[in-house]
Amino acid sequence: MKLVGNIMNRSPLIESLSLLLKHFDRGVVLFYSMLLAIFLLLAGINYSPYLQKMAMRKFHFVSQPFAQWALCQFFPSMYSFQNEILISQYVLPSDYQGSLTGDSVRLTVNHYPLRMLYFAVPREQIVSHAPFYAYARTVYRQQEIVSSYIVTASRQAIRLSIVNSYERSKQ
Amino acid sequence: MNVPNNDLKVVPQHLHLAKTVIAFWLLGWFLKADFFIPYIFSEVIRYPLTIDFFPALLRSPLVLQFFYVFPLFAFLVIFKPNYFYCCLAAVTMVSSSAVLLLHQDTHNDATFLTSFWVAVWVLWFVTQMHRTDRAFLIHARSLALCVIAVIFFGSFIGKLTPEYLNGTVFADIFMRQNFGWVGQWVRAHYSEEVIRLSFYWVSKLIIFGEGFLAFAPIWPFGIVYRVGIGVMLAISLFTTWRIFSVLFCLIGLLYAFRNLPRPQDEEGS
Repeated sequence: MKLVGNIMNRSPLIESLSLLLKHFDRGVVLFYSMLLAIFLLLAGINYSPYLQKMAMRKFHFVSQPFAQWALCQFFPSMYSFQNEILISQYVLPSDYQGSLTGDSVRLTVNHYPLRMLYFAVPREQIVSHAPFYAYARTVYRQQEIVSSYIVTASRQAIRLSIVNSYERSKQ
Repeated sequence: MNVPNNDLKVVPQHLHLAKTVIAFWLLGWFLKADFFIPYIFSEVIRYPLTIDFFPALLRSPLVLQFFYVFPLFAFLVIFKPNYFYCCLAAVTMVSSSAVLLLHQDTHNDATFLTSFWVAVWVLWFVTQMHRTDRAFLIHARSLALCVIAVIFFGSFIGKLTPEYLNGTVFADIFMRQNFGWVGQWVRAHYSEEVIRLSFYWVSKLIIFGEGFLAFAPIWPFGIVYRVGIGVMLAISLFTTWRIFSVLFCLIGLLYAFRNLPRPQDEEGS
C-alpha cells in the first residue's frame, strides 16, 4: 500500500488532474477528453465485435464510407491483429489454407498486409509479375476478415482491385 | 490561477522544450529519407498505383510530395527559435502527418501515426507557451505521457490474443522477415525450434513492456523515462534501426521533460 501511495504521489497524471480540480483549464480538459475517448475505444476493441471488425476492415479497404476508414487511421494499431497475405498467380478459394505451388507466397505481416504489393517491394517487380491474385486475411479473437484482390498492370501503371470480401465470426 | 501574459513573451524554458520535441520529430520524419525520397519522387511517378477506394486527391503524387517536404519549414525553429516559427512548425507537422497518414501511397507507415499525435501535442504546447504558471509544464508532461500511452495501448490491446501471448505470431514474423543485426545473429546461431520456444517468453516480455508504456502517465516520470527509452531501444534491436522513424518523436517527448523538477525539489530550493 505504501508503494502504491508512493507511486500515486509521483504520478504525472495524478499531479495534473489534481491541479485541474483546483484550476479548470479548458484546453487541457479537451486534450485529455480526446485521448480518453481514443483510449476507451481501443479498450472496447477487446470486447466489442463491432469495434473489432471496424478496426480490422481498415487493412482491407472495405470500410464504408471512406471517412470511416480515415477516422480509423488516427487510432493507433501498430502490430495489432494477425495479418496474412497470400499472393498467387492462380485463383484460389479466398480462405485457402493448403500448400502453395509455383510462385505463390504466404506471409504473416504485422499490419497492413496489402502494403506488400506496393510499398514493401519495388513496384517494378509487381508490374513484371502482374496480373496476379492477392488474398488478405486479418484475425482477431473470434473475428476474421478475408478479402481477395486482383492486381493488374497496364504499361507501368498498377491497379489493385478488390474482388470479394467476407467477414465471419469463428466459433 | 493562470496568469495570462498579454505580450506573448515566451518563457525561454518552454521554447527550449518545444525546440527539443520538434528536433526529435524532424529526426524521425526524415530518418527514412533514403527510402521516401526515391519512393515519393520517382517510384510513385514511374509506377503509379490506383486503388479506387481512395479519393483522387489522396492518390495524387503532387499532394504526397508537397506534404512530405512541407515540414522542412519546421527547421526554422532549430536555427531561430521563436514563437512564430514554433507555430509554423506545429501547423506544418500536423497537416503533413495527417495527409500522409491518409494518402494511398504512405498510409501504412506508422511514422505518420506517431508523428501526427506528437504534432498535435506540439500544436497545443506552442499555443500555450506564453504561460508562466508552473501548472502548464505539469499538464504538458502528463499530456505527453498520455500521447505515448495511447500509442502503445493500441499495440498492447491488439496483442491480447492466444496467438500473440504464446509467441506464434512474433515467431512467424521473426522467422520470415529481415530484421536488425541482433535478429540476424540469432537466426544464424539458433535453430527455428529454439527460436520459437524462446518467443514463448520473449512475446510476454514485449507485451509486458508495451503494457507498461500503455499506462505511462501513472508511473513516476523517472521510471517511465528510463524504461520507456529502454523498451524503444530494445524494439529497434530486434527489428531495424528504421523503426526510429516511428519512435524518435516519442523519445523526444520523454527526453524534453527529463529535467523538470518535482514540486518538493522546488520547495526545498
